[in-house]
Amino acid sequence: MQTANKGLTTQIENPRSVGYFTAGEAEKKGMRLAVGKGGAKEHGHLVTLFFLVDEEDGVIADAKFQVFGPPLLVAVCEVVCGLVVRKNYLQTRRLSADLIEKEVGGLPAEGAVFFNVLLEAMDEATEGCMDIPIEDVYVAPPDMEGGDRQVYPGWEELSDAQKKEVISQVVAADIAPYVELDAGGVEVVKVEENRVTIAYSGNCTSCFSATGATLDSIGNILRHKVYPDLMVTPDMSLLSQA
Amino acid sequence: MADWIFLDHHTKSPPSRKITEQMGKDLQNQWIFGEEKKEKIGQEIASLFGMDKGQLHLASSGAESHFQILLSHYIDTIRETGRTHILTPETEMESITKGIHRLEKFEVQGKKLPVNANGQLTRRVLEETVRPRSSLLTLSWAHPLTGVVQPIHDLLEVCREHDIRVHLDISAAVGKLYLPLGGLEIDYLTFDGGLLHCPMPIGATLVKEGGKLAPLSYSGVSQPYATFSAIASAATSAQEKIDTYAMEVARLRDLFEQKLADMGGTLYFQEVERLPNTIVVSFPNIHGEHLLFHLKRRGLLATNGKGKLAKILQQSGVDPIQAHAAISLTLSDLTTDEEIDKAAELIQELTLKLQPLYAHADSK
Repeated sequence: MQTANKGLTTQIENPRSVGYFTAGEAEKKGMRLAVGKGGAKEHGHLVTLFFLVDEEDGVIADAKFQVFGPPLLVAVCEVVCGLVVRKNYLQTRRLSADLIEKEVGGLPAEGAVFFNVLLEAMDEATEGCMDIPIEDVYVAPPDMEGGDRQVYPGWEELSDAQKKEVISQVVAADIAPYVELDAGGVEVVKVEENRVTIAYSGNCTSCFSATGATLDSIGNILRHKVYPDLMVTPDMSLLSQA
Repeated sequence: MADWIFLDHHTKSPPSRKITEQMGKDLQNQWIFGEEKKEKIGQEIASLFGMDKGQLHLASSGAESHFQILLSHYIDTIRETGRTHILTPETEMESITKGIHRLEKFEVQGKKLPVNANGQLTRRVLEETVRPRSSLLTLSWAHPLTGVVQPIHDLLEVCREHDIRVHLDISAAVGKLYLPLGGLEIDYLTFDGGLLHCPMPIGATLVKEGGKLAPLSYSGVSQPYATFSAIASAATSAQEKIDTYAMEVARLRDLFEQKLADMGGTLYFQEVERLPNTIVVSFPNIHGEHLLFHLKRRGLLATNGKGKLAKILQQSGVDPIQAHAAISLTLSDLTTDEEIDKAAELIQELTLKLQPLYAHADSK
């Protein structure tokens, strides 16, 4: 098996989330134990996920896994357990194969089937948590402070339509997957020189952070990945006035 | 090879310095007159395997030889006679099963025959499958992943009764089994020099006297004499090692199997005739590919046939989880006691490291 990158090899060599929780342990910690299985033994892919879920707000406090499968499946389990911690069960249910793949950092083609194994296990584990009330929280796209800023080659010579195309690709790859965790959506409406107008959809239209932390994160990402002088504003007409 | 423990000798073999040097000299010195000697080499190899006479055809690999036979059989027999069925064990190598599948796009009908719990195609199954339209049985004498030896004498009798041609691949068996092929009248015999320490894959096909094998090209250019001499040296050298394999390699295999059993491994195909150098083993809760990944990181190369071994074991009735846990380890006359000790240590260390990954999957 060829692994795609060094990070994957490290996750396979020393996975940190291998293990399990018992009902007794969960009770002692005042948490709910959520267990979900995925895969099929005929295919040689079996995963059991163990989540400790806070019954106050539905947030997953800790996650462990048991796995029988090829090394790439071990890596995907490790990534998923890292992803779900501190997210609530609804956000976990919205994790997409695309987002997991992005977090894994590139997987050989034969590994695509493993995402479904994990999604199946996550669905089963979170199914038993649906009675827990959810607090109004959100997931911001990753903070881009620090690190190298990039400038898109020839940015200033591009037409507005070309600029919109470039920014739309970054939004789709680096921002939308996170916003979708909260059942929200974001797309680029227009670009005029360095002024970018975005439109929210879904839950984002009624979320206070759409004009706060989420907007800041989107601006940061675009300034880091495309051009440092970009200014991002939301199309206010689409936001709920409530 | 220096620091590797190589236990994957049915996928490839380390090149022999002697054969490599001989190939170099022959490429340099025999480029004009080598043509005249090729026929003689064919006869030498035929005699080596106990055949009276045979034509030797070379291809760029064993897999190419397999497809050449299938294609030739389709062109010269199936299209002429309408006998469209090609039979093969369901566990057979992909170069054969995929080759048949490719020809199914035309009028060929591939028939994959079930094997028993020992991985063998039995006379009874073959007799039940044979139809008037059956025209070719193609199989490996010994399977490269499991080492299981097919009951070729029984199968050949059935084929003779029904006028079915036989292609027998002996790549894994050369140098490990006595090959009393004289009188068996096998139509096509193949083996791959790449598994016999040639410096590159060379597909060799011996065609029974009077038999036909359609060429892959009509340019008049064939493999150089150096390739013919290399395959002859490789086959001769391998056949000279039969006693070593039967005694010394089998001793190491048994020693290794005992060590693997002592650390909780489940061994397969021990109760059936098999090659003296092949081990199939699984460990509870550890996926074979996962174990191979860690073994490779620590300098030991083995295989699970890219998942093919799991299919074979399931076809032999093994539980799917155990089947996917299995790996194949193949020794050679180059394998040492020290390597076996080191390999056993590595596997023991890794089973302890990896078993917790699925030991508590049902905990609640």
